[in-house]
Amino acid sequence: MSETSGASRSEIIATCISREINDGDVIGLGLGTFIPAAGAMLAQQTHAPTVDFFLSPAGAYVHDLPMLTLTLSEWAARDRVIDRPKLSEVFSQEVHPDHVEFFRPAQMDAFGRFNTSLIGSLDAPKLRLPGAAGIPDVTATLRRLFYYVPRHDSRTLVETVDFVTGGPTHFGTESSCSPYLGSRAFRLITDLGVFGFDEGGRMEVVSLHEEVTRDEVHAHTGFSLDGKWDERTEPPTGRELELLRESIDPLGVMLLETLPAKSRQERLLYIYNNERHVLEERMR
Amino acid sequence: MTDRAKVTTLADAVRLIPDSATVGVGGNSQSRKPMALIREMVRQGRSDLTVVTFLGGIDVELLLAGGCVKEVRAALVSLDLVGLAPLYAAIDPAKCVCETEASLVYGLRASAAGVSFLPSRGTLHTDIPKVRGDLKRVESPYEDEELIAMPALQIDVALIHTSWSTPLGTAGTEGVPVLDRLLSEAARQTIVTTEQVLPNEDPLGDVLVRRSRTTAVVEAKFGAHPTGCFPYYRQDIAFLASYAAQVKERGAEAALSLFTHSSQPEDKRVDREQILVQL
Repeated sequence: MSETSGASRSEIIATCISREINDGDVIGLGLGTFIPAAGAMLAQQTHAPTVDFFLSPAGAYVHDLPMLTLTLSEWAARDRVIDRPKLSEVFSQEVHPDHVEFFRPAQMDAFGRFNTSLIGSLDAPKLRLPGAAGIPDVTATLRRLFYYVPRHDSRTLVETVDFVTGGPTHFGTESSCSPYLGSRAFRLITDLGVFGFDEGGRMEVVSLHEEVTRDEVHAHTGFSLDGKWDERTEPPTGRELELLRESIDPLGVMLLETLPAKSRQERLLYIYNNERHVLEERMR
Repeated sequence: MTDRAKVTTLADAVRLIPDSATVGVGGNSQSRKPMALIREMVRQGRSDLTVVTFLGGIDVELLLAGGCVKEVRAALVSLDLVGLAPLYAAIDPAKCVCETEASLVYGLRASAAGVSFLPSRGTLHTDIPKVRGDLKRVESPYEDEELIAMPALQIDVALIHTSWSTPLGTAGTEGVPVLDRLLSEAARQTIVTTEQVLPNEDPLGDVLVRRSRTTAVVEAKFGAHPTGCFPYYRQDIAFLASYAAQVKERGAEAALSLFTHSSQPEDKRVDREQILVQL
């Protein structure tokens, strides 16, 4: 949870996401997933120049983005559209082997099954979460599943999820799936570390972020965990931080995914009140 | 002289929607929700509606607050950037049918095609079938493969807000189309509200709704507020944040007083300067 290299939690996660992205990938971006958006933009501005974005709030494939915005996706995308597919095609679960999406679970188990549907029992939930969106559909066809958790804790990383909204169709190496069918859990990035999935499909440590301890990870994870405890995540470089702060996210939109409720609300209104002018400057 | 027979008032358009109807609500949680129609539905006291929407938000909230709803069928309902949709977060489970993006697309496509289902591989590996007893598993007649048969979903009235419409209801937007075209193709009737009724039948750009699908056209400036309508105005985060705070404090009553005490959506509570965009 500590700040490393002067980098915030969201900046560390965005940098790790950037490093998972390959040139030529198409990154699917939904509503409110700002950290993966920043990570993908960072990848494009460093090692993956031909990354494209499918921007769900604008219903379009775009070849780049001027900056992160809250309410101005359609305006930001306007002059950058490659294609406007019919959304009925995009959302009818057709197989897009080039698409990469980063999911943010409300709960996730050690095998990458995750929940965005409800907390409590199926018949009488304590709280209904926003819902499935396309998760039950696309997790059947995306070959590798990527996840991110802005705040690594044992309420999110749990032994058993209350509801399986989506997850891998195949676990580990035990069964084969054809090149175009079926999915496997691949990578989880949190504010404590980077995690992969072993031969049995169970989560394991790939690296811990700077200054994060093994005890800290155990204390904040709801299931047993093993792996490369001595590996360290390469921290964000000065160049990466500069790109994130000055080019990609000048208003601190990413913070909306990591701030506690009260300061989050202030930040939300601050961004809302200022983003038109900042984007106008950018697009001039 | 163009026939303006389909251009009507909000009140008359909403009279086309019977109680117990299945309504398909266009837009997504940020954009082009047909809020002027929804306010009027609450005012006229519609009840027992089945509300189908792809990505819901303040539209579903207001219909819940107004007691209009028998069932919500949505892939997602949220005030996205502001947080959970407070009334939906506490919805009676009996009123909530868990949809997914594909279950809605396949259901609407099946309906538009006149078949009773379309097969999908989605949801098989999830808990969705546990809460959706109506989703049947089927064997592929061709391969050794189990699939979900997504049932056809018939819409009685599609409600769609657009940037422009011709007097006979050829309507469109330059912004995100969401599933609105499919909604109107799968619906028996479509009511179009629009920022601007054009003087003649020439479309202004990409068409979202064909006029043969359109039953009624209503001009409603700021008719999507507090969601946005590209390229004219954006989602009103300040309004939505205030909505969430007031409902948290005072419940559904707060939602109703925020929305229905004025007859025009472009009233003074809308900070026009703040939501208008000129990039």
